[in-house]
Amino acid sequence: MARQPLASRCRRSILLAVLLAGCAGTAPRTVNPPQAEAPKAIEAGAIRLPWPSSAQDAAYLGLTEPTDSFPLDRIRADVLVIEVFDMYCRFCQATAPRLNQVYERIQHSGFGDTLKIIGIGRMNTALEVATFRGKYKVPFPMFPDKDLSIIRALNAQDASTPHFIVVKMEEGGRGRVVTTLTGTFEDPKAFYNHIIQRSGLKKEDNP
Amino acid sequence: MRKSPAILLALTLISGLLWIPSARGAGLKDNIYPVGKLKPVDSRLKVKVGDEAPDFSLPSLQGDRVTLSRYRGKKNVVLSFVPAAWTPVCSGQWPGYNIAKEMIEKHDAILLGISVDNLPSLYAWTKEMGGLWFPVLSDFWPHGAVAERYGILRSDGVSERAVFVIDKKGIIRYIDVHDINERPDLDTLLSVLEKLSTP
Repeated sequence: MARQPLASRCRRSILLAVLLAGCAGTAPRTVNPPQAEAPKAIEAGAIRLPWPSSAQDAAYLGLTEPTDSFPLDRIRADVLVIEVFDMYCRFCQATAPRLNQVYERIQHSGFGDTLKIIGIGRMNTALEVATFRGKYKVPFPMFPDKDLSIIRALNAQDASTPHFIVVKMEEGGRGRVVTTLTGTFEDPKAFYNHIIQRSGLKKEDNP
Repeated sequence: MRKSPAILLALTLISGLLWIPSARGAGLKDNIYPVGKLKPVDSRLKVKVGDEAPDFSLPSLQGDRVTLSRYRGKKNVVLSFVPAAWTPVCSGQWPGYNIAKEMIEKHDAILLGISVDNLPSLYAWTKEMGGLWFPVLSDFWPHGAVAERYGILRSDGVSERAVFVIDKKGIIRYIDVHDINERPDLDTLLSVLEKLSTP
């Protein structure tokens, strides 16, 4: 077969490269890949958290009528980002300021009422969680899970920290896990975009 | 088979776009040597609460030797012995102390981290942790001599996971030879320091 001129082949190469690269651009670039397991459901109504440590936290989660504990499905949100962290984990420490930026981005994007973040302290006491939260001025609620009961219910007991579970809340106290991510991330904007994309939130979901 | 320049260029660009940084949270886990479940305690204490703490002088990562008695009359001292660098639990203990600096210092206390590893190993390990604010001491040579003197050297040559709190008079006020498989929580340590600093 007669070979095409070099200039023509180069133009075709660049066009094809750009097209293929464009297809690949939808993958998350700055976070570790979602785990291989298929999206699964959690029984949000059966997972109980201790009552938030402040009225401000309770208000953020849309909780009223304080009790010792509350089920996850009482949180007023369409999508919940759960960070499993450990005060002693250096990567969780490094991630904290970036996750704070994700929180700020959510507030400023208008998704603040529909997309909430909570942290679960893996085998941490309340004091350890408070130490972590105070050190990094974490604006969203964090809960201790000294006996791993919450993290086991989330089926995340074997995951390294930080570990993120993004749950789309559904009717009947169930939640559908739309993505899980393990490890730190560099770019809060990319992380935020990934959450929005995987959870299917759209601007019209804003109240 | 020759690959088209287009395919090669496309593959290069795709690999760039799909570049995912090493799983640093998981990466640390990957670097940790698995030790399995160990005998919780494998030594016999040679000191007790109320004893004068045996003095020692050990080389530190910071470059100088650290002598316990130099803190007498000045600071309460927390000795945190960890069994070995690059092992589970240990690698997730000192980074927590890293963010509890103010809480420890507010009780007029200094924390000294001690391991039987040599300085180069401790250097690489603590660098992976992102650095530590407290002195890290090597009880490598004579091997585990300080751990042995306190009665916390295990039969395999590593130390127990142990915490000693020593008051400004040099007296041991608290000992926790912890189950080596588990991490001691911060609450107990801070509670002991609170009592020490309360007149």
